[in-house]
Amino acid sequence: MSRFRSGAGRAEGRRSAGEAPETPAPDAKRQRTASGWSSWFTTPWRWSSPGTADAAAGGAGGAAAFASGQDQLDTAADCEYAGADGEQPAAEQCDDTEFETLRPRTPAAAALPNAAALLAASPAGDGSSGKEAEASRPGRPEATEAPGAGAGASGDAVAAETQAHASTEGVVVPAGSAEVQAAGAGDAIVAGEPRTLGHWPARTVAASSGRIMPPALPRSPSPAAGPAAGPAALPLAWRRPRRSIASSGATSPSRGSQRSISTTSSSVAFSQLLRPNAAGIVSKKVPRVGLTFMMKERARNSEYAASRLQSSYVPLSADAQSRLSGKAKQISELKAYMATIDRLKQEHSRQARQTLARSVVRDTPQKASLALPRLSTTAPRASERDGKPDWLVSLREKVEKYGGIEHRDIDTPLYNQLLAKESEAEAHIDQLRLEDSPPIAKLPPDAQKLVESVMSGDRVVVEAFGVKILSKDIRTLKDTTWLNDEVINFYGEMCMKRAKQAQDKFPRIHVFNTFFYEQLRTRGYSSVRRWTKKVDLFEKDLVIVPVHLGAHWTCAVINLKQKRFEYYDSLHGSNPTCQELLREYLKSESLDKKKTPIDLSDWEDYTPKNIPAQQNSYDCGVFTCMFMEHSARQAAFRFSQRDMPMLRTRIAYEIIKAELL
Amino acid sequence: MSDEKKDSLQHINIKVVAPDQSEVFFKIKRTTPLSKLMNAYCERQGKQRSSVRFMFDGARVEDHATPEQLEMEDGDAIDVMVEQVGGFWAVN
Repeated sequence: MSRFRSGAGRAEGRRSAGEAPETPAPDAKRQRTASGWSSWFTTPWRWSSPGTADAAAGGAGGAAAFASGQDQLDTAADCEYAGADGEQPAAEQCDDTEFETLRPRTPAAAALPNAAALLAASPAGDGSSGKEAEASRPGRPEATEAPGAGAGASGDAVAAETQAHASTEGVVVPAGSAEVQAAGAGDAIVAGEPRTLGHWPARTVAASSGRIMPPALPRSPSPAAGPAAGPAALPLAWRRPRRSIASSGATSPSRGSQRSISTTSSSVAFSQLLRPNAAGIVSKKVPRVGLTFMMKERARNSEYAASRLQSSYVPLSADAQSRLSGKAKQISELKAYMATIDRLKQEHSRQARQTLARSVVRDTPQKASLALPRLSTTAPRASERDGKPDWLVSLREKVEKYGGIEHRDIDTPLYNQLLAKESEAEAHIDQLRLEDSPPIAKLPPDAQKLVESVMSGDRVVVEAFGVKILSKDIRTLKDTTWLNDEVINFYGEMCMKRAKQAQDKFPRIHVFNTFFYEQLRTRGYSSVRRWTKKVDLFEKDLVIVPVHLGAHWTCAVINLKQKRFEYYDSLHGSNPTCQELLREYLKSESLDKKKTPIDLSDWEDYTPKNIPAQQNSYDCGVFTCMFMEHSARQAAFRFSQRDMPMLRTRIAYEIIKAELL
Repeated sequence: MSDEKKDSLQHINIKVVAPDQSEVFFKIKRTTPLSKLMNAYCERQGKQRSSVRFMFDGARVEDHATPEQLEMEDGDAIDVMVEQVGGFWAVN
């Protein structure tokens, strides 16, 4: 319990049960209604201190649900899993219901984003919401088929099933029920009183298709508007690219109505089972979707994630606050927040796998089929069964099921939301960093005119580095045009020139032209062996390789100082092939030019995803130029999509002048 | 000095390699500007001069450069590259 109190420090939220929700404080910042969240989102980078914002105005449902007694909160604290260490904040508790709704919460709600508290409070605390759920329940579709709609506790298959039983058979689960497999039972223990299952308000998260439902904004007190509205209303608008974790290259799971790995809510028995570091290797997979889709998703998700950011905020100590200021402070807060998300993620995947493992071990047919939605539960083929005793067949099945657990994707709504939150926080940090940095140097007053006049002409604009740049090449820098190789190569030459002219200021670099990678890829080392007859790569700090991928520009850098192969893609793609090619190239180059093999075993591939991102279908060339130029002076990438129009003019101007500004 | 020998000293065989690996051979005086070769190649291939790039050992071949200046040897290759553009990569 102490964790809740200290971590959140919002004792005022602990009111006696049944007390009416607090009226919003007069402070404007505290008057964020549900719609206020969205307006906050539209200016996401003005991140007002969450310390004030988390005190969302009390709405009807959420606030009342949290007007629970302190003893219930204390009980909820018992649910904290055993593996948690003392420093972890309140948000540590891992449960789907943390994300249940976006409805305004009292400070207590913000302080206790974990489900146990939510659930403990919900049935007993507020009569109206309880009644509402009660009233609406009979009309609910069979929960097994719509886990998102029916499952209150965890949105998973097990919970859905249990609840279906509860609603149809009227099962009452008493406190202390030994069975904690299902979420509802676990929470009954938490609540410390017998109650029927299925009290939960309508779920706003649908597990069935990996879609995230829009959180039910302040729930209407009308019973009719309850669960029916939730899942049906806006499923498509909230679809997000499915992310999954996978180790050892496991492929995405097949879709199915119940393919989520289930997790229980924090239950007492489970807390005994949890072990740290049991989650296995977790790696994100990039969704295979187009840019437009990604951009739309990003916009949609940010509102939700941004609001979550605030409600899970844990304030810094006064001392730390005084040391930090402004954006730097926000960045550090966000970093702490991301660390929390990371722990939540690990905890969640651990729980999910635990649940799965337990259900396999028990292997009652019903639960196994529910908890193992993606496993083949079909009987072994006749050929497999031939000549084998039944016990061997069933044992083998169990082993197969269990053995795959560590490698299975976690694909619960909660996990996807955690991932979304994480990437959102990351983007937020980037943006703050950017805003914190000095603006890019302004263009000379006549630059715009000069560039325009050059673009409209038809002549040789400049002749340098053995290249004639024509007006038509400069025109590729116009508005939404794709950049061509001449511009990128000329820009690379200018970077080299700058580095040569001021060797004390800039790293020693070599910039290959845009055909290098293509040659290396298609014709191998021998085709580029002579490209370095006049240059010794091994005395450079950086070797910059602009990469052309059919219709896309990216930038690879061999960082000889930091011993890594860097790859910067404005669409945040990866290109291990490129890094491998460059690795092989460097080995061959060493053998050819230095006559000695080079050991690159401790050189790492570096593909950061927190770099400025392109948000349209034409600016990657400009981004690539910027990646090159910033890499060439080892500067942080302090530019973003919004700078691109200006940077186009700037690059054109620099090319015309044949010198970087 | 025989005419043949004189000829081999003055002239040089250079192949031009297209992206599709097709090769076109040219015999050119060591002191002749390579613009002649490049223009001839473009004419022959029906290409616009401004849409292709001639590279020798990774460096652009300038119009006024001669084989002598570039230290070309008999049988050396000039690569022809086609203009590259890019702005966006739809799906990885």
